Amino acid sequence: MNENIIKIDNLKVYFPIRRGIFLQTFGYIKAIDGINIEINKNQDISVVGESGSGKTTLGKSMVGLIKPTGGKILYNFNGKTFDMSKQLPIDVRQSIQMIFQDPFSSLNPRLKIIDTLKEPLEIRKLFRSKKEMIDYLGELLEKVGLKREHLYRYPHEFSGGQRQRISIVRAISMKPNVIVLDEPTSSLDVSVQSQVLNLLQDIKKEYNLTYVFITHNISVAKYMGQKIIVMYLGKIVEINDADKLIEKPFHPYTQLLLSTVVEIKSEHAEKEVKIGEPPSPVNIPSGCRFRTRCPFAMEICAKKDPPLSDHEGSLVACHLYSNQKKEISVNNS
Amino acid sequence: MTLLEIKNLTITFKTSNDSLIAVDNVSFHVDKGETVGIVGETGSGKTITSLSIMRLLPSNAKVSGEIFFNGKDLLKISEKEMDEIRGKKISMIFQEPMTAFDPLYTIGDQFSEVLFKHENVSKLEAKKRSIEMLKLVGIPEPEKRFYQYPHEYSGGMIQRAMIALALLTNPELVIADEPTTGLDVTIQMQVLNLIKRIQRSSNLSMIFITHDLGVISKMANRIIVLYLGKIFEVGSVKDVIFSSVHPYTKGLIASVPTLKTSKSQKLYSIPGNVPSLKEIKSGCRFYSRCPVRMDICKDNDPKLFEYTPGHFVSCWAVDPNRNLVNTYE
Ligand SMILES: Nc1ncnc2c1ncn2[C@@H]1O[C@H](COP(=O)(O)OP(=O)(O)OP(=O)(O)O)[C@@H](O)[C@H]1O
Ligand SMILES: Nc1ncnc2c1ncn2[C@@H]1O[C@H](COP(=O)(O)OP(=O)(O)OP(=O)(O)O)[C@@H](O)[C@H]1O
Ligand SMILES: [Mg+2]
Ligand SMILES: [Mg+2]
Repeated sequence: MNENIIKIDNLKVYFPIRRGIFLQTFGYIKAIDGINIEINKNQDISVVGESGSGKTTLGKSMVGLIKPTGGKILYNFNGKTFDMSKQLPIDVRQSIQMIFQDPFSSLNPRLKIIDTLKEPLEIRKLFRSKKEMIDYLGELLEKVGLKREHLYRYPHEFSGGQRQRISIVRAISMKPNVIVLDEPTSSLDVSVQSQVLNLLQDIKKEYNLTYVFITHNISVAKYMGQKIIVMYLGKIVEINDADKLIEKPFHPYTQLLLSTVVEIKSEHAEKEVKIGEPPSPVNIPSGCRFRTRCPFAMEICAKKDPPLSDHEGSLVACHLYSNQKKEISVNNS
Repeated sequence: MTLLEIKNLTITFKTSNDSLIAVDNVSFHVDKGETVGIVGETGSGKTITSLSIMRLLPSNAKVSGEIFFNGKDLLKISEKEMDEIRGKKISMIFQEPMTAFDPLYTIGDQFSEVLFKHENVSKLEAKKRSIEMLKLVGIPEPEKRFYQYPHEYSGGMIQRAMIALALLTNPELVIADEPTTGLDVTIQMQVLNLIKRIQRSSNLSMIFITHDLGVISKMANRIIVLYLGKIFEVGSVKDVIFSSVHPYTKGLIASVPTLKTSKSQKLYSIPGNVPSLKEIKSGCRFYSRCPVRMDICKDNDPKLFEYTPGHFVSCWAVDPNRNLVNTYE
């Protein structure tokens, strides 16, 4: 049996839209609108979806940086269960880390690397002496392919890939169990991306980590996660094992995403895929929120929001599969 | 027929204490109706190469070489003559749409402005042509959108509006500098299909710049691989992507995870980092990272040579002239 490390229960994160001199609330952006996920220990999860689908909001909620509007995120640490929206003991809080997309803004430009790295460690008084701590950090830097003397440099003296390595050192220095990675390689060149992805894979094994890997690159999602979660406008539309989801996507949105992947050494068929415009997050369509772009939209789709339910081992939120369990042939790319 | 021919283009930047060669003796051509892709990592010189064609380089840049456009050397003509070509015969699509649009004016005003500048059209005619072009790139309700400001367009729409702006004057050459970087895959696909459709139907010539090998193999007829300002490999998509010869090209291609890459497989990665321009020494600039480097590579910069017809490579490992150099030493 797999140990459950994170359980997300009907999570909702709404951002108020305020206007006017009294900042009255005019409505809400439903960035996360009721999602459930269970993450098992060592079972890496990738999260994909278009811009604005709520990936970053989900990640920040998982590490306690955003308080949910509704629902819960339960986190298992050393046999105890913690609610991420509550005040947590420092060792619990530090055991779930986040790495951000932009290696340029995630490090304080005015601090030497050592000063950025030592801060969270000093709070926890993990080391008996300063020398012990510096030795520890130096070792970690070497592990990610940097040098000990880099501790005494400033962020601007490093390239994008090197800065991302420093963010990785910062995260693993706190000996976490879980790391949420929000597009950690999106701003990097392909050759640097492959170095960082390999490094992340090695570190994962060595430190026994569980990753939540947010990306809009489906090939990277497949490479980094055992499972893939597909998000659309604040909801999960499909969850499946990475290989299966790529091989046989069920949700029309997953199919759309896969058909737009432009890959090297693959035939780029000149098919015109109907892509459509994503609706505004303020005005989410009734029923299934994908129906305005869906080539298979039916009457029921405007009326009822389809729940995530099992279909051939995949969890899919789509009326094509929900009621009658019969196979409807969809033009799978 | 050749539309653009660049010969021995070298771009040098003067900084306070030294000068850096950012583009080093680059030669290539673009035929009529052809899309030439330029691929390379950050800092390889993609943007400044295209800015040099537009004669829009910053003032601390020194350019030498020749850039023939329809037989005329763009580096020799007057600024007035260049002004008539720029934005009319040659136009550019940028990565960041906000560099192409002024937030203070409506899209319609900005489109009309370009037409007033280059063509003797009436206000009504300018509006008609602008709306037609917005419609062509799939902007919904173009009559209404004509009067809107850039910030009222969504991300995908503004990108398409920029393409429309670049095509407005029926240019002969369009330079697209990372036109889809940072876009969602869905919108990217929309924009790429659009560019391709228009390029075909009007027999446009294009230079398509990107660091995405997947995108370039979809868009280009021929591909140029640039590394620290030098061309490492040029050829058809088939040559460069499917039968690459240069170890750098091979390394780049192997670094990209695809849907077929299995999780247990380690990604190939090119060792080390791209050195800075300052660190370039006399030999091959890939020397420090090259898996097949030889002694000769350390001090001798390889030249581009024709490996197979139309497929050019600059690498000593496959260069038949290697032995000639050796005997000199
Ligand atoms: N602090 C905030 N205040 C108001 N709205 C917000 C805030 N943060 C996010 N949003 C909105 O919530 C929605 C989800 O945003 P989020 O950043 O989670 O998306 P994402 O999937 O990470 O997108 P991207 O791929 O662009 O990073 C968007 O509509 C966004 O505009
Ligand atoms: N104004 C300038 N002064 C000095 N050096 C410059 C200037 N502009 C560009 N360079 C240098 O010229 C080189 C090539 O820059 P360029 O912008 O063409 O790269 P690129 O291939 O477009 O990279 P990217 O993928 O990041 O856009 C870089 O080393 C850059 O630092
Ligand atoms: Mg995000
Ligand atoms: Mg550039």
